[in-house]
Amino acid sequence: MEVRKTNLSIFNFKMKKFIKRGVLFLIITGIVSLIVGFLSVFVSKKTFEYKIKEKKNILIVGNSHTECSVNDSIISNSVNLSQSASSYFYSYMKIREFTKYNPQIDTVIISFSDNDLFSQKEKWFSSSQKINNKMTRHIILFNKDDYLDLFKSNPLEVSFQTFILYSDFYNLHMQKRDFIGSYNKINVNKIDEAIIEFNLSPPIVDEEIAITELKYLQKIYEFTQESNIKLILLNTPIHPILEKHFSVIKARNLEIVSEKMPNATYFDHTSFVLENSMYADLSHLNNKGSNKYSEFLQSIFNK
Amino acid sequence: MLFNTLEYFLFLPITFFLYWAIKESRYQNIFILISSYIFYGWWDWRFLFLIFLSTFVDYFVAIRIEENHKQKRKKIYLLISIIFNLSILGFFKYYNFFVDSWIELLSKIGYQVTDVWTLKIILPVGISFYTFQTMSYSLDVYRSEIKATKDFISFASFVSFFPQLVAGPIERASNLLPQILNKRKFDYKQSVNGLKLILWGLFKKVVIADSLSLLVTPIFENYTSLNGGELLLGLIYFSFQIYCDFSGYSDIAIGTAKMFGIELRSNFIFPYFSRDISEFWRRWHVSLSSWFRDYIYIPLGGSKKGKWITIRNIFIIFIISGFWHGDNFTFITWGLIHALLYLAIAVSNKNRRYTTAIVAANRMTPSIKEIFQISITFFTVMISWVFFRSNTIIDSFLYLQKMMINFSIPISYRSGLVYIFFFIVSDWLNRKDERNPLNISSVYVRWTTYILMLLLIFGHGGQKNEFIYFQF
Repeated sequence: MEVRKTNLSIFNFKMKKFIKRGVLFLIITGIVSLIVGFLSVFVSKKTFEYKIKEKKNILIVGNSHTECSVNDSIISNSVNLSQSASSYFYSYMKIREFTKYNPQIDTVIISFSDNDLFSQKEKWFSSSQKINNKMTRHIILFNKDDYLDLFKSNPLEVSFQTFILYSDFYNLHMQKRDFIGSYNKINVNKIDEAIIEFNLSPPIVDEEIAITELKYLQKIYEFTQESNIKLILLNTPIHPILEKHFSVIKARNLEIVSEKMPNATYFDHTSFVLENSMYADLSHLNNKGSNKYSEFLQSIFNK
Repeated sequence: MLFNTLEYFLFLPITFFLYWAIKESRYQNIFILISSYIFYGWWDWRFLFLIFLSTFVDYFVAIRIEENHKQKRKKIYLLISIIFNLSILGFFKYYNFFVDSWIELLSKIGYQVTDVWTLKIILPVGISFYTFQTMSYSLDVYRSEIKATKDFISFASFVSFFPQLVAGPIERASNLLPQILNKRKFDYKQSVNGLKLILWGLFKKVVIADSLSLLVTPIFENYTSLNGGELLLGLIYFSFQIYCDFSGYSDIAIGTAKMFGIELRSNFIFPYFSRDISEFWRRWHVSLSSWFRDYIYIPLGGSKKGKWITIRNIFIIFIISGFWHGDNFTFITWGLIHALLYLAIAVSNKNRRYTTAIVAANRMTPSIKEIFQISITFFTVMISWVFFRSNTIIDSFLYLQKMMINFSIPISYRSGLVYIFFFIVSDWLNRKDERNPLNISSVYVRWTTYILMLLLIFGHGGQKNEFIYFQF
């Protein structure tokens, strides 16, 4: 008796062929991209200039506040590696890696603005958008623990980025150290628009703390303590209306510093006097403002 | 949901496999509809209501048009469709433009308007595309070119079919609706071709258009401080940015539709190889220009009612085309420039010289005359893009003035030329069939090319720029 085999499969032969070839193609592409990625990281790590000039003993890291405020060409013994929207996670890696290659670094300045610990800054570490923008850019600074920490926060995005580790290879080689951070000279002054916008919708003062940001700030503190490096938490100048608005949070931030980072130096320069023309917006200085402020900082460090 | 995002990268295979796992076309259509609404709602679910309303109105209007035998009644129903669609388009897209223009006009004649009802209206993505699609359906039923469908699900799937929902190609019911109503079978070759088109479209968008955008933006923002050569580069880059961006989107849309067993119309057929401006308009944004031709230009009399009527009609469609792109006088000026360029050819009856074959169809290289024609056409089109890209008309003129008066060899922004050179070469080699790119016979070379392209796409994919035509 002939037994007819029933086809229970939902897909026909052509579709199965399509799936097989598609999967094969994706596997090959995945393997190739991983190989290219790891090779490019290997080459970048070998060729990257971690070494900075011997006379530069001050390392400046942080987000756009230090990026736009501190002109490292005026403070001649410093190098500014700040970058906008940088989580303390990336600043920590920069400090760790650059001090390893540059034993002359005895001072680290890190941005510590009134709003840097707002809970919304948690996204700077774990949001897909930020990981997309920052991970491959800083990949040469990562070690295994850094990678795992980031992976735990957003497995899908980190997995995807792992397949495109090569994506910033060209930029890193063209822009060198500037690609992971530098002083940002801003020529514009949009203070009037910023004041109008502030009056329409003032930024929320968030009393909740970004746990991961604080964790990495403390790691920075611990690392600098262990390495005998002076840590300066820098609250850069902001416009008086914003300073007044954020003033309610200052006491809390100060408490955090004194409790968790007792040996760190805290510079609060939010009320540093500047003309309106020296701001880019309410919380960032333009080149005129940064030059004036950097000269002031230079005078402090050269005392 | 954007085509160039991780979300879409996951959405597409899931919908593809589920769709083909469903055997009955009726259920496939329900699935298309649900997927399309998810795709659109991912951006802003509130505007799903608008699509549904537009679908609902035209579905019933078309049935009423077909059922009624009196011409007057048919006309009334058609007007309901046109007024409804143009009203939602007008409100969401042009309300602020008219209010602002009115205030400006009054202030120029001495009246200061201080209290006016202005709204912060968000432009629903794709509204210009799907309203035109639904309107054309009612128009086609009115002209007895197609039958009104009684299958609401299929009609709703036709309106919201996700590959082409937000930026076209603007489909005609006569092409898309029968495909949705009929049974579809999985075709290996069609799906592979679809994937090739998606790959090529993504490459154009992510690698070429987005890379050029990084150069175009600073050039147009700082045009006062750059030399003429750099401004010329900015203009060349923008010409290719907008082409690769929009045609890339169309390729992804057509490719995606192919994977679902549906063939969409071509939207870009190598427009920059056109030998005159009329050929350019037969090759650029074909689904929109043919829409204007079939539903506005020809009903107004086209070119059959004498020279003056022809001239009037040309101006009308180009001004409407400019206005369709956005609520700014720069777009209207852009349309006017094209009307003038087109008129110059149309009045001398030379606008139908190149209607079918692509340049040098049977040769490897174009003749000197063809190179000259292509260059002149590209140059004029390129000049008109200044008005499309600048914020104001004054900016456009100043840009052009500075470009010509202050011309010198560009010293920066030259890196984009590499992308353009590569793109022109590949577009030229592929110019015989816009629906079949990456036609390489050797399997090894083909797969290596695909992998290389994918690596470049993902390598460039960090910025995830929106498609330019989303704003229209």
